[in-house]
Parts: sequence; structure tokens; C-alpha cells
Amino acid sequence: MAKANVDTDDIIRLSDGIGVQADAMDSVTERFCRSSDAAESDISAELGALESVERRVRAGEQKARLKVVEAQREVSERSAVLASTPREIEVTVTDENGESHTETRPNPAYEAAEQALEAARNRLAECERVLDAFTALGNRVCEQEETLRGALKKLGALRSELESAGNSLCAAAENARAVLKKAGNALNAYLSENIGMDADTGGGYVRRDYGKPVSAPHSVTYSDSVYADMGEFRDIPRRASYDDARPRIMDDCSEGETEGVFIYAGRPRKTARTGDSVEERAGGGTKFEVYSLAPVCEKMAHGPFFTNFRYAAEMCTPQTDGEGIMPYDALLFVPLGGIGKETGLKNAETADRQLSGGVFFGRKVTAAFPSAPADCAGTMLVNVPKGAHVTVLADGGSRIELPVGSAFAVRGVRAYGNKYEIMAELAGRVIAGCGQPSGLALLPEKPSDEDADEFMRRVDAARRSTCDCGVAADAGSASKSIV
Amino acid sequence: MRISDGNMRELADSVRESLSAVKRAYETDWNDPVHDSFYGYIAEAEKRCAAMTAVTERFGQLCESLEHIDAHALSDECGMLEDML
Repeated sequence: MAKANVDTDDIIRLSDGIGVQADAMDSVTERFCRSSDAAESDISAELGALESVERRVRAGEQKARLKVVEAQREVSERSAVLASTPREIEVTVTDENGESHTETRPNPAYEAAEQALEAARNRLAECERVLDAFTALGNRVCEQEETLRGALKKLGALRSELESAGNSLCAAAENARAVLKKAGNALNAYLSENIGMDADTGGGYVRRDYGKPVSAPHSVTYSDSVYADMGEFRDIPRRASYDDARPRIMDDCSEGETEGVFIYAGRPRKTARTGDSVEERAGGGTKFEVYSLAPVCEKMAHGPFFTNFRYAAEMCTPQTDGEGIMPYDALLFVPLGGIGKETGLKNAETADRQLSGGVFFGRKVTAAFPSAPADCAGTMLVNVPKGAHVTVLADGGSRIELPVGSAFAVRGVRAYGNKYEIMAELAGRVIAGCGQPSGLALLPEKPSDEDADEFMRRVDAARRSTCDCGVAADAGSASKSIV
Repeated sequence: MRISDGNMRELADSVRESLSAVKRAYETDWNDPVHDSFYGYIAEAEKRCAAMTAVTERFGQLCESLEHIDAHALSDECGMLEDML
């Protein structure tokens, strides 16, 4: 399961992206509304013009109809005139001899009446054509008016639809931004409250590419699952029990994360990369080189929400004190538990009262588990030089000594209230324990070069095994060597 | 009649582009299981963008459907008929 680093910048950027998108949607909605208004105005104006045309058409149609009636009447009258007019008339003609006789000739009045009737019929036909044209025009006007009225209705519906889409998305965007903001706030709260960092300045944190201080705590990996769960867990008290947290703790392990802060005594003090020399003071001070950055994925139930803040761990090689002696043992400690305010490892004896996490050095080194409920799993590589004793202080003060020269990887630690279940792999054998360990104590002696080589060899082997967070799955096969 | 669509398609495209940008950023940077959660928003946004695009398309079609309407031409035609009376 791939897991990406998400930090406050990501949150801000994504939130901004949502904002841009929502703004664009708003812009579309707004411009659509403007355009819709303009269209509505245009359509209304056009409709008004058409209604005016329609009135004229209806008037013209009525006038044409009257003309038709008038023409029809005229035709009728002319027909009557024609009918009453003899086609021929008899005319008395006197010839050259002075004799008179009657002749039948075409009646000019008839011809005139006939022409008048034809003219009236033509006018009637013309009036009828005009009337028909008015009627057709009126129908077209009415159709177009209906089209415009329908367009107005459609426009209103489209506008409602668009506004609904825009408003819904804006609401969704607001929700998304609110969650992102909450995630960012919680992240900052965690950083400021639990790590003591100024969340705004992010002092001590670096980007993943190291060495470039930035204003935001980039090195904290923030899980989307946490983001998703936060809404549900926001009311859980800061010191919630493991059982409360457990359902939301992811079983995940990611390898290859090489970025992060150097956790020292529970506080992010420095950043480092492979090959860096780091000088720190812890119970007398120490120098070391960062050997490598180990893949790490630990789980923590912490704060008002449960997350898997993840810190890359630095593996440190023992350094000599100039006399060929390694004054300090070294161990790789992936933060296994909560990191709180109680920081500052003063000495080994009090270390078990410190919260876990960090690289601890000392002739007597104790890597303590947190007293607060926590769930954690990760890789813990411990160098146990020859002759040294590794003691697990278990519940009731019982102890178990690990074989000398051993390196083991803690495969998982789970907290149940104040009790812990520890699983570790030691020399290929799974060991598991439960109880209430006050700490893992290392009682190293001054190691020789051979010891150091052996240590590194074992560390390499253990590192290759990386972490396996499937604690529960492995539990059945685990022998309880640590009780 | 001519109705300006206010470059609605261009606007809708800008919405889609900005949504794509958010989506790309999300997919790039938030590549983990809680995609589903945020994808709720993305899916909603896509749905709304699609609705918005559809609205703009229909708006454009509506505008086009009105292009043949010309009250002035009809008025002129009416005037010609009136002259014939």
C-alpha cells in the first residue's frame, strides 16, 4: 500500500486547488447568470417586438378580411350589374337611302360591366391572397413567440440547474476545505503540543530533500486515513485508550522513506542524511555518523486523533573517542511510541520515564516505552556487544537477558493501556512478550572494532529485514521469550 | 436574433481544467487509501462540472435555436402586406 507524504503545504495547496476550482465554478455560475440575464432580456425584447408585429398582422389580417368582404360584395354587385345588362342591344340604323332598320350590336355597357366584374374579381383574389399572407404571417409570428416563451422557460430551468450544480459543488468544496483545514490544524496542534515545535516556523524540520529549512513541518508524514478519520475521532480525548484508537490504526508499512527529522530523545533536534556527522549531547554527549536512513513506519495512537505520523530513523554508527574505543553503544531506534513533552534524556536510569523515540547513546542506554497509551510498530535495531546484557524490564520487574552480541528487530509493539505487547525478532527467532516493560536496557561494554563490525553486519541484516507491522498475524507463531 | 452565450463553453472548460488540476495534485500527492474520502469531493465536482457543461451546451443550443427569429424581418414583411391593402 503506497503511502505518500502529505504535509501542511500539501494540505494548503490542495485546499487552494479546491478553492480555485470552486471559484472557477462560481465564475461560471456568475457569468452564466449574467449571460442568462442578457439572454432573457434579449428574448423578452424580441418577444415584445414580435407581439407588436403580431398586433399589426392581426390588424392587417382584419383589414384584409374586410377588403375581401368588400371585394366580394363588389364582385357580387358587378355580377348583378352584368347580369342585368343585356349582352347585345338593338340599334336603329338609317341607311343611305334614308331607310331605317334595326340592327343587333354588342352592348358596350355589358362589356364595361364585364370588365368591372373582372376587375372586382381580381381585387377579391388579391385581397384574399393578402389575407392569406397575413394569416400565414400571423401564424409564423405566433410560432416564434411560442418559441421565445419556451426559451424563457428553458432558460429559467437551465439557470436553476446550473445554480444548483454550482451551489452543490461549492458546498462540497467548503466541506472539503473544512476537512483539510481541520487536518492542517490538527497537524499543527500535534506538532506544537506534542513535539514542542512551533508549527508555524517548523524549526528543526526540513524538507524531504534535506537541508532546506522551510516554514512548514514537511518531515511529518500525514496520512490521508487520518485525515479521513479525524472527523470521527475529533472528540476522543487526547489520552484515549488503545482500544479506542486501534480500529483506526493502519496496518501499513512503507519502505524506502528516507526523509525525516532526526529524533533525539523524543524531540526533533537535527536533520541528517547519510554520511552526515552529528554531534549531540545526551547524558554526556556523543558523536556519531548517520549510517543510513532506515525505512520506517511506526504507528502511533496519539493526541486527539490517531495517526501514523512517521519519522524516518537515522541509523548511526558508533564513533570512537579518538582512542579506538567506542565509548557508546549505538542503536537505531525508530520511534515506537508517543513523543511527548517529557523529553530530554538525562541519563540511562531515568530514561524509562522518557517517552520513546530517538537515538539513544550511552554506556547504559535505555530505550523506554511511553507511559501513555500508544500503538507502535517499527524497527528497532539494538547493538548488543559481546559481554553486554540487554535486559527487558517486564511487568513485575521480571527480566530477560538477550544473548550477547545480538541485534534484534522489534517487529511490533502494541500498547494496551499501560501494558505492552512486544514482538521482536532475534537472530531469526521471533520473540514476543507482553507486560509492562519499563524499558529496554542496554548494558554495553566498550566494543572492539570487531564488535563494531559485527554490529554493523547485524544491523545491516536487521535493516534488510525492515519492519513488519503484522504483529497480530505473527503472534500465533511467536514464542513468549519475553515475559 | 443573436444571443451572446457569454463564452460559456470557455468558462466551463476552465472549470474542468481547474478540477483536473486539483485531481492531479490529489492523485500525485495523496496517493493512499483515503483517496476514497477525498474522491467523494472529486466525484461530486466532476458530476457538477458535467452538469454545468451540459447546461452550457443546452444554453448554446437554445441560443442557436433562436437565431432564425427576426422580429424586424417579420415587421418588414407585415409592412409590405399592409401596403398591399
